[in-house]
Amino acid sequence: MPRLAPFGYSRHILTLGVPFTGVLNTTNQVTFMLSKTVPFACELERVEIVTTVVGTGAGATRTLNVRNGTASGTIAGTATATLSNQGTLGVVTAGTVTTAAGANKFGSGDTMTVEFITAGATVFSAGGFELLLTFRDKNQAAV
Amino acid sequence: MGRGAYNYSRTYLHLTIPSVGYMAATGAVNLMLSKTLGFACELERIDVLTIAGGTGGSGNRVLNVRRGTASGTVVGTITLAYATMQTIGTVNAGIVGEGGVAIGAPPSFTDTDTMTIGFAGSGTAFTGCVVELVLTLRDKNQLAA
Repeated sequence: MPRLAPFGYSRHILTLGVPFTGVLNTTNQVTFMLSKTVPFACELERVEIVTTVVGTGAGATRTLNVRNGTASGTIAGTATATLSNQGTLGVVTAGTVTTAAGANKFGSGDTMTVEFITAGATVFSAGGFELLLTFRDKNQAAV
Repeated sequence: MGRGAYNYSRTYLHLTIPSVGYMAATGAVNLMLSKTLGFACELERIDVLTIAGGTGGSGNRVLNVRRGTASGTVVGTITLAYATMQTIGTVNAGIVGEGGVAIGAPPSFTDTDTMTIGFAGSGTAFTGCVVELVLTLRDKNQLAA
């Protein structure tokens, strides 16, 4: 259990609603959030998707990457929505976070990009979810 | 409000609640099932923001926040009623407290606890209504897991 520590971390959750149209109904590469400036140093701790519209579509699969930087930046985290994990409202599907080489660490002023990739993609015929990104950061001065 | 190095920071957990499957339904349905928080925190506020006004004349749905699974202890609740859900931008506040009853100290979650948000299996369906659920969580500085 994380112990309380005055120089420890606080957490913040960034939620993004992922719609069906334009994202899940295509196999195209979709840049969902491009180069958002992160104005404070933080680390990506958790990537999760929460089903809000039941997914349908044979073999449906969409994978998203959270990148440190632009659309070509280092992958900090990833999650995959599939027909099987999007079949029930409210289900939380955990993704993975890349800690190697500090890929999940953002410096103050770094940018963050979320994209859906083409590789392995198969369209949904219905679906929708919320993307939850949990970050941890330490107390720091204002920019 | 006082400041202090050992006090809280806040974060929001917000989820859009669609009409289909949720507001326009009456059965028990989970909005978020057994999410592991990963950090110790307290539930401080529940607010619901109307982003598409309800049109069902008698719409009424109860939303519970639970510590644990869908059968866990209710630590927050809010009733979504047509009378206060017709205007875009309206914010309705819920009740935070153990057992769904307001208490002095907000209910707490350990870092290994899970949180479940779901509608109770009763009420009256809205004809149309979309809302944003905003949970305010407060946490103190703590080590990484």
